[in-house]
Amino acid sequence: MRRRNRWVKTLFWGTVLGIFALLLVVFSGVAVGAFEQRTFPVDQPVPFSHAFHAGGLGLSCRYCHPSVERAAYAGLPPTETCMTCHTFIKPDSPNLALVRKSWETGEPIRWNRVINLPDFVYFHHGAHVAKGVGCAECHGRVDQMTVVYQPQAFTMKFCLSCHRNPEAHLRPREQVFNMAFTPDPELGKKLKEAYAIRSAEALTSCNTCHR
Amino acid sequence: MPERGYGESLEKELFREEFPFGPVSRRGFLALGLLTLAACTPVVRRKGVPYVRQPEWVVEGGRAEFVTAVPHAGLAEPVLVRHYQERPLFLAPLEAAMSPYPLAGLYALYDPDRKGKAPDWEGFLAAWRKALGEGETLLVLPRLASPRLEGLLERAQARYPNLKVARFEAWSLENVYRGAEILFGQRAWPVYAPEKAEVVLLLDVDLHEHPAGYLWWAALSGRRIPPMNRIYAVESGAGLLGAMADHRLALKPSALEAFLLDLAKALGVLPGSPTSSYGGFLPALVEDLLRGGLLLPGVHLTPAAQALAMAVNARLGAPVRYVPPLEKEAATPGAFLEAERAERLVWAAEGPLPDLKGKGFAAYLGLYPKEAPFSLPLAHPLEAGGQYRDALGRLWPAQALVKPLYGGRSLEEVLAGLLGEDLPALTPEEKRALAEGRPLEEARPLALAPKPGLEGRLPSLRQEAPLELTLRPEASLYDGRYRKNPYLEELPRPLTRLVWDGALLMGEEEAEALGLLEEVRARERRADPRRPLLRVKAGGREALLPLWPLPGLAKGSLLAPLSHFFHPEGVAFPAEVAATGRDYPLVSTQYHGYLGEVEAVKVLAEEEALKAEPKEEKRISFYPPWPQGEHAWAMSVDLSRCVGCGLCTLACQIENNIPVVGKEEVAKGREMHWIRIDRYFAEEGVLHQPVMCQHCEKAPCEAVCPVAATEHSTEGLNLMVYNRCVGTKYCSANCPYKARRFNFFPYAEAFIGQGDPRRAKESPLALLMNPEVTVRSRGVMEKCTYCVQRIEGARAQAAVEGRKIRTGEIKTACQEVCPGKAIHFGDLLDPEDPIQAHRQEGRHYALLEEANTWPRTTYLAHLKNKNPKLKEAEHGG
Repeated sequence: MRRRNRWVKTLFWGTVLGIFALLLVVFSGVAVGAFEQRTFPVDQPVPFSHAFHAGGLGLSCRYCHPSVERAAYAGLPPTETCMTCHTFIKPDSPNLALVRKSWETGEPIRWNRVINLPDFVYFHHGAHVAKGVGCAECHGRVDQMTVVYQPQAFTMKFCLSCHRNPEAHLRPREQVFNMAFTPDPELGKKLKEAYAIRSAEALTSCNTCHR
Repeated sequence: MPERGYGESLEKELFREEFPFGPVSRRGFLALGLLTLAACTPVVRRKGVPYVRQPEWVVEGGRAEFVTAVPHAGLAEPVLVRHYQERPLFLAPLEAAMSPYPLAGLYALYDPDRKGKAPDWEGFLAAWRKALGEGETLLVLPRLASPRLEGLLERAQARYPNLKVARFEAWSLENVYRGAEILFGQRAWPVYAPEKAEVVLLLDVDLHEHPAGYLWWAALSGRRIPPMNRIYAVESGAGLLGAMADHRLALKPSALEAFLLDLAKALGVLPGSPTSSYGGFLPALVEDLLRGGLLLPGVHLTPAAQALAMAVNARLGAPVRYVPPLEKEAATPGAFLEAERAERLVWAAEGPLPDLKGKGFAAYLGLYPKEAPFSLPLAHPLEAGGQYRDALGRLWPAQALVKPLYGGRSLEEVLAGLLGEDLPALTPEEKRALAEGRPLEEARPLALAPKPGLEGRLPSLRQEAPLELTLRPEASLYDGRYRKNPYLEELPRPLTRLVWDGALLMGEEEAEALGLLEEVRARERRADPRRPLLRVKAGGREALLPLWPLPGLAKGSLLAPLSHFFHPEGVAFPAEVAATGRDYPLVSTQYHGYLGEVEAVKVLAEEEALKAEPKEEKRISFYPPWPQGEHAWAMSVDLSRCVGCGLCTLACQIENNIPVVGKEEVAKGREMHWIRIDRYFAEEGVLHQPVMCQHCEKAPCEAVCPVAATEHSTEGLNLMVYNRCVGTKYCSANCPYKARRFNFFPYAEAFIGQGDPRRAKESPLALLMNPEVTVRSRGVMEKCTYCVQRIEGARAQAAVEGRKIRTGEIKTACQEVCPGKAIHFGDLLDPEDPIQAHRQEGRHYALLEEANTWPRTTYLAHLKNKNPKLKEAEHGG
């Protein structure tokens, strides 16, 4: 056959093979592990230890993240919150140098976000806290983390695992901020009724998270 | 059968909508496809940046609502401003209704074009004081309805004797004040209560042409459902209010005023008897008015006509009261000539701008910077406080909601600066009024009685001429001041549905007389947007305007927008029109989203509506029913209350981050408005219908999405999931209502970046976007979502507070701003929600019922209350 025709045919079948290989790789799930990088601990400009403050000292989550009960975002604490204690406690610690600098100059601290949902996902903290979803359900035992990491990647599958079966992940409202609490599926069934949580069908409706 | 426009051109328009760019070669198509693969971007770990010292509202979520009064043409519109994280993002009317201008003005707040050189206020004030020392310096102000500003002005004039003040408005209220002076011997401003009248006669007035126009429609719309009032309209133009009339008479301006004279004679206000019965219209009208009538005259009618209208109202015992004139000194277009003559000038007015070159001292104060020796920014109404009277004479306080973004100052601050004073802070009374959402002062009613002997002192009415031109404010651009606002530029104008341009409107007979009608119709058939450019000469000035023939315009009447043709001596002139032989492309959305030969708007008479039984719906479908959730959202649109103003379109655009696409793209039918107003010319008159996604229970669009990007929620919403959409556009092809809009280009980024999508990241216009709604990029389908962000927000708030969603808690954006309260959104499963009652009404119907889509958005038929004594076939004088 003509040289050009052979080249075209090779190119065509090569592309078909290539796309088939690509689909094989994608659907085999072998690259799902690529999302595992999201669960590594994230370095921060200030070495804040949740294990010490929230675990050891027993500071309430809401002392620094007060919007979690009322707003869509939980928020990061302003420098002012850190300075409420650290003006007096360890005022010269080298670890807190950046915090003091921020307080004096008025430049905010630029934390590295550990949890960063894509823009097309709209998550409301307040609604979840009000319905009995504990902090530890999604964020893990933050009170045991020196450096915060995500215990699992926040894929849609993770959110759906609870939205399809909320009973297994609910806790009484008083226990939401208790990291040590383990949810009880039997109690969860009762709480689903008590807290007026919708059916799995309604919870997995696209508009719940995507608008 | 109601028509969208000239019948034969529909087909060509439809074809162009589907294939706007013509044939493309296979190679070109493939190349384009491969190029679009170059869109992958790497993932970056973001920063979380909290405050150093956090403001109080951060903990609560950052949502707040503030009351303020936004002035439009000097008169206050009380609004509720919705903030998110201290950014004003939405305006809703605080009183019954508001005009579109304050809402669209949000764009100007964040517009980077407002940024000029760093404003040197001290330098300007020093130069001004120097000019005031040298000689007469003219300060031209816009309409001022602010007593506090007048006080500052008086003090400034006392301090600087050389400070001369003129007030400029292209659309003036002076004729009304003079009319009251002729009749009552005292200048006054009429405040009407149209809800109390049984019969209303509209005299050449439209919604945006009167300061209280939108409030009037809010009042009138309440009586457009049984028991109905009756609206007559006699007009020289073609307005939305006139379109809602049960009987309409089209007369040119001089004939209109002669009609008013005849009406006065027929009612005994003046001696003599009417010269004509206007084909039986006048006697029927007189009889009807006597049972509780009200005249609503336009502000541009001659003072004699105003006096006659007020006299007729007095004779009828109409629900009108009089308050002192809104302005201390009326702002007129004549100030323009004074400004042109002045040697030293400070121009702070809005609209048409005189030449500032060649003067000893010339300064321009305005929202946007101009080429002038001194150009200084005025603060946006949301950036400064003040006190303004509204169209009903009440005094409202205004508060600043953001610090001036570009160094602007309000007129009060400028005058205070001239005097070397500081403005006082908000007083406790103002704060209380703002917190409670009420005015500072009610209007002081004047006790006025008509002085006898009107016929002796009545000046002349409008003179007759073969062609009479009226310069009217453009529905979107007003007198040209909103030319830099793309939201308003792209809002389709009333009746013509034109965008981005002004046109000369004339009746079909006049166009035929000029020999141009055939050409225009032929071009419509070919879907050629070019229209003949005409030279219009009036009052010694001329302008070039493209022609748009409009059915229903009175014979001998021409309409030109003030934004495109301004004359300092008034707004009504005898005119001459000549073809120039040149063309100009005009883009209209009148054929966009054509539904086919269907009776889209049902019109019923009042008796029919009362007798009608709700039709039993034939509920047969192949598709199984969807699972039912906690709520069943639905919407009803009352076509009797919809005046076609387009505020819903604008509100939806601002709430949902809908971009403006520009004239070229609109010409291809790609405007992104999720809700559009379809306008039909029918025997009954002009009919309007807002059409948005109907959220069909058996949606043709949901079944055909290959990636399940559009799904049905358990609560009845047809959802649009932007992140799944790959841009197949099958859903849009299937939609019988043509309610879906596709982003053919990155319209949103181009809009934010002011034409360049790559500049979107640094543009302050990104602050205008509602963070609750996704900003869509290229290749994604979008449509009305029943404001799903508001539904979810209400659900989350209810969850936080541990309660259910209350009845009427969720208001869609379109529902909030509609002056006629035509749109109602509610829960079918809620027994207290009126939406079920709407569906049981006799005039309830669904659009395109034969498509069997079971839409959740349904309509209530348009009602007309015709006078049985008046037969059809209205006529020109």
